[in-house]
Amino acid sequence: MSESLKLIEQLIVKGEDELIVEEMEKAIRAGIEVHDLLTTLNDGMLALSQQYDRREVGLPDLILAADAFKAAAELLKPLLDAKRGTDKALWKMVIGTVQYDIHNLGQDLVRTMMEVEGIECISLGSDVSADTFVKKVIELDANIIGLSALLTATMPQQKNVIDALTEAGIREKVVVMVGGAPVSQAWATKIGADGYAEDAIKAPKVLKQILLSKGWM
Amino acid sequence: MKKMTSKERFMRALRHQEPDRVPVFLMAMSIGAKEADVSMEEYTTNGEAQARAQLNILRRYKVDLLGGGCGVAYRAEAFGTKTLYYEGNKEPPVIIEPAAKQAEDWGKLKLDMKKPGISAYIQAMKIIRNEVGGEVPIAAEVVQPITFATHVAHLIYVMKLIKKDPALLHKGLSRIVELYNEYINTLIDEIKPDIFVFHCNRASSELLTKDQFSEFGIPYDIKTLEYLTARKVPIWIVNNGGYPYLEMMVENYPVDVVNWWDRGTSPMKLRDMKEKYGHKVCLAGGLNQTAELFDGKPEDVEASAKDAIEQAGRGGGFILSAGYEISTICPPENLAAISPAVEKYGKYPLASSVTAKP
Repeated sequence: MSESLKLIEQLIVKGEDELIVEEMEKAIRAGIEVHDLLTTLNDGMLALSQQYDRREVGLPDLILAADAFKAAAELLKPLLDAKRGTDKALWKMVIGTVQYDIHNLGQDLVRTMMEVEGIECISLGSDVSADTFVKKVIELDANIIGLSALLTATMPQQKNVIDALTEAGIREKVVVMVGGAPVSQAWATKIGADGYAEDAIKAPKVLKQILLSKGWM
Repeated sequence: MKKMTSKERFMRALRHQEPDRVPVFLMAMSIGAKEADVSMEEYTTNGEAQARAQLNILRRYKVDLLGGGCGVAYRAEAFGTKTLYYEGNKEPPVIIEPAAKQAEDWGKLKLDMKKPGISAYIQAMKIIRNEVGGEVPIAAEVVQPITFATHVAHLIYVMKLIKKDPALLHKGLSRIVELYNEYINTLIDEIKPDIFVFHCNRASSELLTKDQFSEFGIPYDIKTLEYLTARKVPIWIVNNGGYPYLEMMVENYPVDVVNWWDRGTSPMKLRDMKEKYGHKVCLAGGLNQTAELFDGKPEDVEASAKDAIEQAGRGGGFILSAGYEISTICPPENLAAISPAVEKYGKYPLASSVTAKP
């Protein structure tokens, strides 16, 4: 790995969103391949997520790293678009916090982690009604939906969204993932969700397993 | 043993003495409103409605401690946030605009105890005290400063300050603690609580490392708790699953009761805590608000209650409770199963089958 890539990986881990832009610009000007840059950014996030799993770093570190990742990835977008041409992203996820719940952090982190994995994510924000989720899934032709609920009082809204997807006749066309502090695998199973991840880091892995088990991948 | 009032029962448990039976507490705020057929808007802005809802919980489920309020938004409103009270439904109020959005806002935080949510809460607690305060203990509540900071300001903003501008966050936390002096003393003077619940939601390794919690959590928690110890009000800590911070708090804070999500993700179960800290603090827990209470049957609730009493009931110093707030979708028959279970398994002296160590 070149010194430049090593430094970029370190800047992700340290969450240096301004310095990383400078280094990325230098690397792009030096002709480093987009693929190598993207892999380095992913490696940085992976290294940090492993530190987080060991509780060596906390949420503040993850948030800053995600900011640095976004800032760096933004520079790669035009280069990626030029390479990809008109191809659409294969996986499109609509994500949001359910109605009457305004906690955004969980879904922000999940969105970042999903984007790291190349999944296009559209956030609907918080306090999102079941109808809005359904409308957006249809409008955007999404194949994954992420429902966040941070309160025991709002968990039932996750079931309402699943019921609304069924009513609209599109339940089988989308993978439904649920998450949030009070949510559990038992709850996900009970309400008929396809998957549950206990934290944002694990969410892409869980999604991949679901897609494989459905034969969609 | 002679039948005790809830207050006698609760105070004996607090002093690690055996009461007539294990006391029960349910953090039943939203569900209290729902069961009294009161909208959350009315519950959180009308003291009489809030008191009626909580007194309904007392009579229906025979709990031994009563609180009030719901969530953090109504409290944060008193410190300058904009709070939305949803009209006519069962959802708690939410913060729609934080009070501290930029550096200069922290120093300008002010306390206004006349805001609708906090004044309704005080009114409700006074009504409850007047009606049942002689026999039933009353709990007031305060949120630990680092947790409260993430409501007064946006959580992500606060998390970023930890790394990018720790001095500013210290300034903000100091301001919150400064305002807490008046906040806590007003609540004590107005409500005359028998205990103060200290909510420590952000004391979790999922959010903060030990170093971060030691720097931004502990010093401000201790300052806040000093206001309570100065007024000789016992302290009940709620920490829903924040291992290992639960133990740090029990070891370092002047705590009387500790309540955590013992049936959830915490590796510390009631039995472990009883063994390690049962001589020092009264334990509260044993019922799972995200499992048997809303997803099980009354017999599951009874089995959990029995198991909890087996784990922590011996010698007193135990209160049967959930790890956190009871969901509005919890079936009433499950809550109704708690009191008979306590009558069956929680009468002191406990039956040898209940106290036998596994």
